[in-house]
Amino acid sequence: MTNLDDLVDAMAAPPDFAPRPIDLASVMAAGGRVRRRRRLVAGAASGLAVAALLVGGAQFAASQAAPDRSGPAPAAEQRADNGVLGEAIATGRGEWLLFATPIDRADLPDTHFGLNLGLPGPNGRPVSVVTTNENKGSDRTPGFHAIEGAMEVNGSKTPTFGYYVGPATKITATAKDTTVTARQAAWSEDPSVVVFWFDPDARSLDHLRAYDSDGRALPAGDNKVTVG
Amino acid sequence: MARGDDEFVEFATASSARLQHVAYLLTGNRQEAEDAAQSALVRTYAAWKRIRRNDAYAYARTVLANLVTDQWRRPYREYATEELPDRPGPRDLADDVTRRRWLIGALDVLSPRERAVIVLRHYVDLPEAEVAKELSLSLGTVKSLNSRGLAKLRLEVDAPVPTPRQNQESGARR
Repeated sequence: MTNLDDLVDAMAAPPDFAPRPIDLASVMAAGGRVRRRRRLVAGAASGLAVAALLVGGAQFAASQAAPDRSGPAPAAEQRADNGVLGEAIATGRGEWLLFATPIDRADLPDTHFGLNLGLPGPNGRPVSVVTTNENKGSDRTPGFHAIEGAMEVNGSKTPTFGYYVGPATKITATAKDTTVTARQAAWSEDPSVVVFWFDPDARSLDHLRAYDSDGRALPAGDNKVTVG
Repeated sequence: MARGDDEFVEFATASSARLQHVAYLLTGNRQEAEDAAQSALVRTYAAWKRIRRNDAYAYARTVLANLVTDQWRRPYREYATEELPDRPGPRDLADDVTRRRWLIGALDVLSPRERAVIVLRHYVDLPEAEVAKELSLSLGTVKSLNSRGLAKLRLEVDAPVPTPRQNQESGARR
């Protein structure tokens, strides 16, 4: 008679192959790239909160020093404005917002912005929860870029999202043999950048495709969905 | 190399074989298992600063389980039929080769979620609540998948395996 102990014993027995030695250099290099691509809410939120406090403090100080001054302290205002490039996009899925922020890194010379999924923060400024950006080549080549897979952050489901460079009017993906269509919006700073997102309940998406207004398939670019 | 990196190297060296073993049970494929274990370690390294003071192996195993289950694109089979599939036949446990073939063949009978639950529950020895947490499933679903998986494996744990018809009428057994 087959019993549970037999199963447990069989599973515990070593496989009939020697484990492959792990290439730790590759693991750590790839892990470092993942780390750079993703920033969770704690760091981003605290950074923006500090910025908001600085802005608020500067405005308060300016108003105290010069009550008739028409605008806030320029340096502080500039700092706040630099937090978001263009307009934030309301996804219509809970309070999730999508917005771009600048990236200026020596190791990413052709990446100038990242796409953030976030929530409304102090003074209505969006607070980033997940940041994703191109990390191989230019951030403006035609095709998909920086697709972040659906996750669960602090108990909330996040949508699969990313951006497409080109005249995409329809973006689809497959989820367990079913085709789902993304919602999308042009980025106010550069309409050739199409920001897209799927329903947060649509998980395990792949085979992302973009189509133009005539229904023709557009170049895929990097259409792999990454989580992490 | 930073101190955290040293710690990660030590962790990865110590745990990679175990991760590959779990991945092999989950996939039944050596190459996929090796790739999944490596990917899990990549993501573990990415989160190392945050998790290194906790149970890093549990984190890596959770990432691994989710990586593997995310790759299963086919529809879940456990609700697709009223009939249980053919069960693995009798085996000779005295022979290691036979045993390994029986194991992988038996696990292949299971749906992806049943397989993940069986491996995490009975190989990793996690409580059902932990399995539910790792796979983002409800506790009831884990219990049901475990029962159905064991039934498919023709395991007689504490009661005779019900016939498919009995199983349908009585629901999942524990």
